[in-house]
Amino acid sequence: MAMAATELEYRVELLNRMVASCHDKCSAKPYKEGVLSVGESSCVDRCAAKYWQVVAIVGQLLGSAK
Amino acid sequence: MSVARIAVQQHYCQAGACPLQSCNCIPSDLRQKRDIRNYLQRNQQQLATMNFPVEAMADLPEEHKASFLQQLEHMQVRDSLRLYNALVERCFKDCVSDFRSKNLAKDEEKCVQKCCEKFMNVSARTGMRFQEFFTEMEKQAAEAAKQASKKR
Repeated sequence: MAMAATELEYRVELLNRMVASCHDKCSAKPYKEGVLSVGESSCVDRCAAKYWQVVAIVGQLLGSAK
Repeated sequence: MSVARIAVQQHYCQAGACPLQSCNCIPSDLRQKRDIRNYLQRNQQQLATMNFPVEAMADLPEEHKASFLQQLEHMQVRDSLRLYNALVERCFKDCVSDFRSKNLAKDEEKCVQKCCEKFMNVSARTGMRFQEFFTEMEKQAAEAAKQASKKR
């Protein structure tokens, strides 16, 4: 039960950090408009994909280091 | 208790589906099940945005579900407040730099609006991709587990 709550917290935290990172990397500043342009949209997609790969690699390395 | 109330209770209690709060005919765990089911149905959309595994909830034993749902509500409140703070700080840092006046300039105000809109759009899109990847990852993990158990 406690594991499920911890797992859920981890997922929420992961999502929040992914959103923050992709926003920092992909949004054009100074803010021209609120709607995402085509370039920004594809940037966000690729950012999410790469973030997942990093999650997998780090998970592997941490697992093997133990 | 009024006559009408007693009549309703008797009628529904025979069917085992009393809607009244004070009904003693339904065992408490079944009533809790109904309440939990209703809660999940009502908040399905909000839970989906949080990437909450609604299907996994079905496996938990009954007495844990209620406390889990309470915890979940607390988490949702905490998360929305955290988002509020983070967004305010982000947009302030990015947009406000002119301290010659006490009030926000027109362009700073517009910038903050665009900043919020953009962050919400990025958040929605990232959430979508997150959900896709997570379900794919779970599928792969399930397949790997299956193959591992087959080999044994």
